[in-house]
Amino acid sequence: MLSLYRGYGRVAWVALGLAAFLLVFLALPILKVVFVAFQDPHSGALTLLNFADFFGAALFQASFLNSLYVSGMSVLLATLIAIPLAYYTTRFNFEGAVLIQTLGIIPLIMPPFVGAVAMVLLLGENGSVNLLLDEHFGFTIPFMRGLNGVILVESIHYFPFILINLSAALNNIDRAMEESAQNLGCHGSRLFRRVVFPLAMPGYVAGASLVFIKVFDDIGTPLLLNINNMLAPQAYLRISSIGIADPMGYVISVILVVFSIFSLWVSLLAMRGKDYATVQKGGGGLARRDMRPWEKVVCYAIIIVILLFVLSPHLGLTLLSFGTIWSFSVLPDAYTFDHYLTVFQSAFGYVTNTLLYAGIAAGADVVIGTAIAYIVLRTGLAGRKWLDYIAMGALAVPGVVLGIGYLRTFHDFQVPLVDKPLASWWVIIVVALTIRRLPYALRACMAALQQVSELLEEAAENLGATKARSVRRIVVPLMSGGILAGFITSFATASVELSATIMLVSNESDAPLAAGIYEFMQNAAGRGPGAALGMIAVLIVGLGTYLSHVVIERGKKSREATSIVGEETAT
Amino acid sequence: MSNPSASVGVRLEGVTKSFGDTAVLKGIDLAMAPGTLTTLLGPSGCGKTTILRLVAGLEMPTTGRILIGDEDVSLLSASHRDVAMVFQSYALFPHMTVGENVSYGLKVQGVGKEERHARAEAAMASVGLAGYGGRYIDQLSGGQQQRIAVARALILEPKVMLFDEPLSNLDSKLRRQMREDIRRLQQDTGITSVYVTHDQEEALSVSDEVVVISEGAIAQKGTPKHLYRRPVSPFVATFMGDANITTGRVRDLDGVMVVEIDGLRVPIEDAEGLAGERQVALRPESLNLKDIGPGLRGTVRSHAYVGAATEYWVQWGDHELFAIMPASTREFPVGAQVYVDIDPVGVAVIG
Repeated sequence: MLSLYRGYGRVAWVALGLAAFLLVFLALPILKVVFVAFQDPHSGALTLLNFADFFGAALFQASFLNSLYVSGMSVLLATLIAIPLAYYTTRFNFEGAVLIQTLGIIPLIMPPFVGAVAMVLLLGENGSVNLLLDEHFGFTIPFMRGLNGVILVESIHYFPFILINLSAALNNIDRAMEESAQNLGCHGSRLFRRVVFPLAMPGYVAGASLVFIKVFDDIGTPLLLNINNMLAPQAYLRISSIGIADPMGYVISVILVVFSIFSLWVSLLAMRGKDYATVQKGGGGLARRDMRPWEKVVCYAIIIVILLFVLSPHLGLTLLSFGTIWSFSVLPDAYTFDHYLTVFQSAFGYVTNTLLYAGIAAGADVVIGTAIAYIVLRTGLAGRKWLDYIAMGALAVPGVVLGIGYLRTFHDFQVPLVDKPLASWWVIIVVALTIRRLPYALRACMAALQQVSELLEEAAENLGATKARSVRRIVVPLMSGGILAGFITSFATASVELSATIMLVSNESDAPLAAGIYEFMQNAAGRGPGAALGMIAVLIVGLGTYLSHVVIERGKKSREATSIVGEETAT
Repeated sequence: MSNPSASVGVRLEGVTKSFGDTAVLKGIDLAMAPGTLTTLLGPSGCGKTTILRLVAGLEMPTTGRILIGDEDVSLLSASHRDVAMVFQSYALFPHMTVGENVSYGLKVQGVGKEERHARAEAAMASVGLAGYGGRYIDQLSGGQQQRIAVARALILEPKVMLFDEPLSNLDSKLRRQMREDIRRLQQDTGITSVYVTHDQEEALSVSDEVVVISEGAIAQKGTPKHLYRRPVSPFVATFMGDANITTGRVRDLDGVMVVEIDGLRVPIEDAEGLAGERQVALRPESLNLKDIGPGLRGTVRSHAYVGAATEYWVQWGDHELFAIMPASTREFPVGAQVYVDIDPVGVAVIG
């Protein structure tokens, strides 16, 4: 018993340190936000008055309804985009499957707000497409008018979440289910309605609730499209213009958190129900058939239309970054490298800041993730699961809310030596990024650790290695693929994170890429350099996504190689 | 290699182990003599692997003591015990070469590179895999991995070697050969060894002593022959090999001990003090089907041809006897009236 305790001694300290970090930088700020929302700003007494004020104000009522409307419509539009794509790949022997897979990744490598301005130039009232339509056919389509713009940008950005989940769900359906339904006399649309659709529903709901909350929490896209009367942008605007004492920002935060928790709960519930689609072995998805020629034509036509929409922000951003003046014209007047020069000469600080912040945050994430994964999966420490729960709780915290929480909580905390409040020190941005990306890194580390047999650790100890040594030399090296993939993903997504950082950037020299892009895009003259910065961001995220894909695939392959041995050694 | 005379024994005194509310071991007292190979035999879930892990220090006993030689190691962590284990799944490190795997224990001890290399080569040679040091684990066959796992444990010249069902992942031919190799290595080195298996044939063939474990307690221990000939319970009797359990009367017949089964007298040895009504285990190999008596009268219910032998199920009263006859003998058709004669070698009186 004694040595067991001794072995856990150091681990216990690490666990306590991690718990303290999570409590101070995740639980405490959020509790603070909730508390302030229910507090009378003058007397400090607990009250529901702030909520009454909120729902009594026309602006907030409108914001609330707009946010619901935009999120709901984005889910709907994203669904309409995803369904045919998922259907074609799972139902037919379709040569364009690779095209569809690519389609599902392209939007993910660009944060929605980066492409928003470019979308206006392409699809807006006076954008390229409408100029052409007006000239040749005499009508225009209000793609980007008002809330439409937000809905369009968000849905072409987030539909991959639905596509991926829906395709996975369809692929998991046991062919025998479909066959037995047919055998029982059910076919055609009835088969789809009664068998395929219900079986695929959990995957769809999981994806859809994710899209809903992403849109609900997004602050950059509506702000850049000049839509202020939505919830998340209002939270930011109230705090940044009126100040951190204004209770409305906190009320909105509470509403955002409640919706986050609700949609996570829905998606969790849906995914738990998903198991029944895969109970039997030898699934392999629905029966596929070849397409008839006319079906192929329809199919390609639909895919090309979607592809054009999906690529429009990338296309627009590229044109914008190379164009001189682009206004009231189909294409820019002329092309130049000036914007890139501007960026490299005067705005490169944003890039270096981003590499620094995202690098530290992703590094911290995998270290914390590995530690928590090890403590949860491999030790018997009491309460260890709570580390996992609290860390995963970050998923339910929108970036704006975390930012507001930090401002409020750490405003009065002077950092020694630096002589600044912690809330306006650049390190707080790194901490925010670390907390925001931790759930993803943690899942990656958990998965990696589960691939490493506990027996290997025992074997090392049996050969005389101490616990610390066997973790360092056996466990961590074998986890390295998963850890690396987790690092790259965290790095790539942290480098374009806007919602939390925008609240925390206190002076321009500390600003990362996302904040820089946001700043530039605010005025017409800055759009060119802003787009050039956006291209750099896309490059970073794209490269990161590709690298993590490579790492994960390589890991899979080497696992396959060892799994041959594994099967032989399985009891 | 270590000197057999320096071997030390292993002792478990009143060891219990519970996981939560589940008592896995219910008081184990066991002494393993220096230099011997002791097999823990039992069905899966009986606690035999837990005993092994307790000796290795991978689990700590709930109560009781574990001694290696005279040293109480009950509270010593795995890395501080001079005990090497061969894992069922081998647990070879996939990110290291064969050589690095074999010499890992030496590296941990801080042995210099050259000595490490030399001793790893010797250890690999002792398991017939000299020159494999540069390969990776996934380039080895299952049998080779098994040998490397043995070499990795052996190189530390531990006081105790533990084998956790080391052969369960090999095919039967390889298993027989590895069984002999392990036995020879153990006898050459004289390292006190504990071997866990659920295969009685494996247990009988490699061990100095066999300990049969059932539901967390020792059912019986003794030499392989003793367990086979004189099981204390029907559980041990059936676990040591196929057996027809029936009852008979043991009596002294003019100085010769016999067991009477349904009137058939079979002489038995070492049966002093067993007189009376007893349960008896009859090994199927020792049952001979004949046309004429003496023997137990029965009817052939069914038979199966299995290559070297023919298996028979014979209805005898309300019992069904399972008999294995060499293929060279003549066949009895289903429905044939037969006499089942019993070879004394295959009779075990239980108790």
